Amino acid sequence: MKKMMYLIAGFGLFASVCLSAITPEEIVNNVERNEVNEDERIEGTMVITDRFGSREKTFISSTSGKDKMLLEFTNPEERGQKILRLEDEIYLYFPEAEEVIHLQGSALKESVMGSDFSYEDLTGEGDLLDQYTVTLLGQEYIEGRQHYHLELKARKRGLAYPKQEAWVDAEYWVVTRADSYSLSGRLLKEMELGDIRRIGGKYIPHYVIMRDAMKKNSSTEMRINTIDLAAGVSPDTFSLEELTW
Amino acid sequence: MVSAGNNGFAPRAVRILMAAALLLNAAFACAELSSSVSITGYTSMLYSGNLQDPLEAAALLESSLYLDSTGNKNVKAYLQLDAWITDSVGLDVPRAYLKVRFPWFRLTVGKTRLSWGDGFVFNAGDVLFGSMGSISGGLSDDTLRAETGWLTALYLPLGAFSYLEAVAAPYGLPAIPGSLETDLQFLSDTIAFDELSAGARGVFKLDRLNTTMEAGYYADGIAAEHRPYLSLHGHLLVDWNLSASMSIPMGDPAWQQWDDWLAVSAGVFQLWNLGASRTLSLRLEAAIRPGSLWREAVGGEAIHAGLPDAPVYGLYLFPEIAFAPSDTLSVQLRSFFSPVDLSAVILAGVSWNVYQGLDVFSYLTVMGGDADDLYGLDRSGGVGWATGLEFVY
Repeated sequence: MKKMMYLIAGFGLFASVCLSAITPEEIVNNVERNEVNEDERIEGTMVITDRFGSREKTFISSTSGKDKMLLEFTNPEERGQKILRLEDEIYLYFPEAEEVIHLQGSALKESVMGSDFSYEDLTGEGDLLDQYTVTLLGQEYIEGRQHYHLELKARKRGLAYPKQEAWVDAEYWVVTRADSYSLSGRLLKEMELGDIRRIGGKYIPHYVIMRDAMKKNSSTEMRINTIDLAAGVSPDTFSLEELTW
Repeated sequence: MVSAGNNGFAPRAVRILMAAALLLNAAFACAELSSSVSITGYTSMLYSGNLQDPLEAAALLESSLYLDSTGNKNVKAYLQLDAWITDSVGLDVPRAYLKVRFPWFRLTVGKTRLSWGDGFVFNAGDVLFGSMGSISGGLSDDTLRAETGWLTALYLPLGAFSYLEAVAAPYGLPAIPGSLETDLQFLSDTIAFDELSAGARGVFKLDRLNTTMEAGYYADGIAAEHRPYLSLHGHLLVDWNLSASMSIPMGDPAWQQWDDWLAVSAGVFQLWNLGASRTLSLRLEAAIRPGSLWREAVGGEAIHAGLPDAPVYGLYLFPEIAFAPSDTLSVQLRSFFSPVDLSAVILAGVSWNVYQGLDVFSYLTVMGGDADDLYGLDRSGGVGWATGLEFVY
């Protein structure tokens, strides 16, 4: 889930004003080195807020590397429902029907449990530098901390967000803010990450707030309650067998 | 179902229930478990469409208790206990199973469901429970096919996306819904070997075709049928599925009647994101039986749906339009349509997730057709309206 928090962010650029010697590609690589873990296990909470109030969902997620994730909801309303992501494939499991659904095509745009995240947000974008042209727009200070301001423009069609902007903490190599745009330049989503803690030599943001710009008075906060970066997640975790367990 | 009716619980049923409760209690008392409860209450009104018939009203309270063991990644126990109150009291255990994971395979024992084949409503590949006929529950349910049965299943993974699965169902599938007493009696009965139902399937992902293929076979000892099937589903512009199965009589089948045994289902689904959390989805599924009736039943043949001897037509359709103006509100229009006799039951409904765990819903169902069709306005339930609340905690 943490990985998702970062990946949803973009990086990009245009008209780079290189105020330092670092290249945008190095920034992206540093961010990925910090965010990608061999395996991790997270217990977290998702709070969806809209004009009718808040809904809280709890989950356990296991991830491995950049493109494997199994998330299981543990709150009473969705208990046992699972999402398996394996590379660009998304599978859902509904225990009531004992049914596995392979999400494909337009269904990936559907909201995850009514949140501001879409299933498309969960899918990997592969190697970011292969998918996007990254430009360093400059350096900015956000809450007193130096950030690199990046812009990402899609190299090909079909990506969830054709253009993104991201602000990367220059010391922690953590994306703390990201905005995603449509091809026409319309703002689609805003993301904010914070409560960065050093765990196992890495800097881990413990919350992400996603706002779908198309929805009024709506936001989704995902918070990490516990995280284990040495969970020893088995490769078999990311399979239909585990999904239907 | 244990029915109290006007006479109270039958003593035998009470004993069985108490025994079951003690057993289940013992199984879960000391376990690490998670639990949840759903309570649904609604009122409904039924009208026959005939001005001479009275308007009927009813109320129903349903609750389900779900107990799920946690804490052991290789052993899982699950229990679902349903109870309901209308003019009688009912109790059922739709699910009660144990899963055990061994190094190379997984074993499931108990009462549960296996989803073979693919299809939301019509699924010829569902040779276990049968998903080609009318829907056992209401058209308003989120899960339209949820029958369960007593079975033992062995699951052998072959990589991340492929697997083999074998099943034995001593008492046949599905179990009779709402029949706890019958269920418990079954458990002490012995079954003749030639009545044993069993089968196996293989599920494989065809990466290059973006398609999943499964093939299997089930021998239904109670119906005395061999049931091979093939099912494909994938995505090409839209999500699609296609399944075919045969129900071949055991013994000495008359092969010239092969088309009587063939069942085919097909479906397409597409969802559009309209922005601002608005989605629109369209679904169309078809159930085809080439050897069944392709002309409208007349006279004595014509018995409306829901009765055991209702005619089986060659084609049924399930169209559905669902619109979600927000993440918490959805409106749907769906129908079970019989093109051969031009009759249908149509449901229009709305559901709203007001607060966490709380849904409000309202549905209107209307049957359309003549008096001798599968569905007709001028019969009980020709027009029905239900509204209620569901709370999960």
